[in-house]
Amino acid sequence: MALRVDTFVLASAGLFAGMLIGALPGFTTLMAMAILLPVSFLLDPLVGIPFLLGIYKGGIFGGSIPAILVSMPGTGAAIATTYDGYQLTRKGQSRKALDIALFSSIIGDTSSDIFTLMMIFPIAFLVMQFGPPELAAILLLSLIVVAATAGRNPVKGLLMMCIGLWFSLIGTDPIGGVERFTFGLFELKSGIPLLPMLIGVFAIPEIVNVISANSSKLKNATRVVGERLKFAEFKRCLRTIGRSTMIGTCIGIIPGLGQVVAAMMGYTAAKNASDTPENFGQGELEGVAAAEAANNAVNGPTMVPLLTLGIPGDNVTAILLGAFVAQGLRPGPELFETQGSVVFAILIIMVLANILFLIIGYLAIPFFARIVSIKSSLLIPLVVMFAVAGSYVFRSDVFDILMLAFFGLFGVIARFGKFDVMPMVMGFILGEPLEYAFGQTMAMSEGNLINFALTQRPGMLAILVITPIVGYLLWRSVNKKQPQPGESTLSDNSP
Amino acid sequence: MQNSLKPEKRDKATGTIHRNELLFSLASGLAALAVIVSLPHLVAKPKLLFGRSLSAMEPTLFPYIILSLILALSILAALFAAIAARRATTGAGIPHGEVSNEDSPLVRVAVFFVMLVAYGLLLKPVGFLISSFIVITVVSLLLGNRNWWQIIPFAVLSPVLLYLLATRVLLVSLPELNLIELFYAGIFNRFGE
Repeated sequence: MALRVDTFVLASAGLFAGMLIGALPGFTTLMAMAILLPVSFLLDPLVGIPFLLGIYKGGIFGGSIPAILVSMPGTGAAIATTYDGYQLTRKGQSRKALDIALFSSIIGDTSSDIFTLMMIFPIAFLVMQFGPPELAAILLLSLIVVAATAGRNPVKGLLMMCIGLWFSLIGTDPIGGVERFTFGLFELKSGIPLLPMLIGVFAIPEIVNVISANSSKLKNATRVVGERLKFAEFKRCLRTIGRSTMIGTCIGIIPGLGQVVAAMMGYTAAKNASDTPENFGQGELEGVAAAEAANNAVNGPTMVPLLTLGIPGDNVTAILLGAFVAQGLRPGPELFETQGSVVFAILIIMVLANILFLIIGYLAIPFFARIVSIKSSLLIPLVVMFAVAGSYVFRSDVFDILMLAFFGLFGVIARFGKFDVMPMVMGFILGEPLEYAFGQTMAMSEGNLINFALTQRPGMLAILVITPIVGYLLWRSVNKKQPQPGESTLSDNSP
Repeated sequence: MQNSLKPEKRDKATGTIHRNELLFSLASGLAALAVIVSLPHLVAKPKLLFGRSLSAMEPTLFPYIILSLILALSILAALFAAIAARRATTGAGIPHGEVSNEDSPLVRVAVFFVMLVAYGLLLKPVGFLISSFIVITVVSLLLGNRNWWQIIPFAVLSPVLLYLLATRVLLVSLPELNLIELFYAGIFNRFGE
């Protein structure tokens, strides 16, 4: 099932597109995912999802190319790569730096994907024992976790989550089938379309960021120079790569932390463990290896909470969640029961795609290095055109473009006030199943919810009790590790 | 990056963020209040069978819970933002009469959104190729590109390529004028023969 030619062709296309966009300073993986999401909707799940996974993997690595060549991280995940990567370029060893970035990314990604493959099914088996009351509690837990990890102020995350839940109420009530909040508009009867919302809140603010900064100044052509990486140098970095892979894998499972934190922690751990810590920041190959192995090791394990519980680890996985839902694969306990084979095939492809990752990355590094110097005044108009065409093609309705503009504006306003849109998107996606499961639970409890939970559903009760505790612990751990607001821009944290 | 700014500029930026935060929270709260007040008019009556509702839950119950939460959380968020804004601007507020140098980006952003809506509205009447040509040209100019030899070929060719990719490879429709569609059909039919 997984070994289809079209799957590998599209996964390669995704990897190439991801690396290409990641290599462009100011263009994030998030933007690439949002803009190219409509393409996946038109394909079979076994082709469309690997295409997006390719963009995800490629984009995280692609961000390291401008980080190494011009000290400008293409994505937030590559910030730690700039410390030593650019110093190596200044020493005339950019080829070596790019090689170690590629190899450590692939080792980190492959190892964490294998870990994901082993971990996901036992967790899913446990989750499959749940009924509607437990499902409602799990969905609530997912929403609280995402809102709590959205930033320093959990009230803002919770507010955005509730706004997303309200957006999900627009359309037809999933239980009684009555119309709600359509304001007499026929186009809203089937609810707010997912695709324009995702492109709007994720891609449009990124475009506006570039437009408002007007930062099309990087014009100097960049060339890859120096010797290739020697085996002895690679062998010296293996210990660091292993350590960073473990750090990235652990961070990937915890929602909300993401690649930026993983790369920083991997780098710090490598520096602390090194016999020559003074070399870090001066062009140390191990510094590049540590950051790149850690940030790519996050990619696989984010699938564990995403697929088993429907909890995305970051904005990019929130888009993946949208893609799964649109393909009829709603992440959560039921997914493994109804579409277990498809999930298994997708995970296998994730592991095998790393071979393509190695080939494409190795061959195309010089090409991507040239891409770094392309002006954004030529690329941004293209992205706008893709965003509009992508929003339109799914339903062939101009109303969807107006929705794109509305959610784009919403995303920009939210960004101005430092409100993270991810809890809103989560609320929107999980709103309908939550209301449905809640309605079923109400019917089962015959109106006496508390008594029902106390006497008949200990699982539901246990999940509800641990929800605020888990939310608090995650909020605390995320805010210990993340930079304070005002110290970095939102786009810095975008993978 | 903001941490490379001078302390007073950083405080000013932080103050602006809190002010935006306050405005966003207040707008959310007011919108939620307005929807709560008009809820009976915005949700259709549930279907009844022999005078009894068919479902265990009223269609207004979940919206009431969510909207009440939005209202409560927006009040809390507004309070936090107001306190933080007061702290941030105590020492380094923007003096009255000072002109913000952020006007120019705001105008560019406003032009972008007007153009995005116009793109949507023009798509059907003038077709994908012409509307995309206009938008690509305007966005390029917004981003400071003044090289017409670069802009014009790019604005002509990229929509054509995307149009052909969408309609001929992905087999999805993009709105286009009959004349242009017939032109493409003619070309492709000739190739087909």
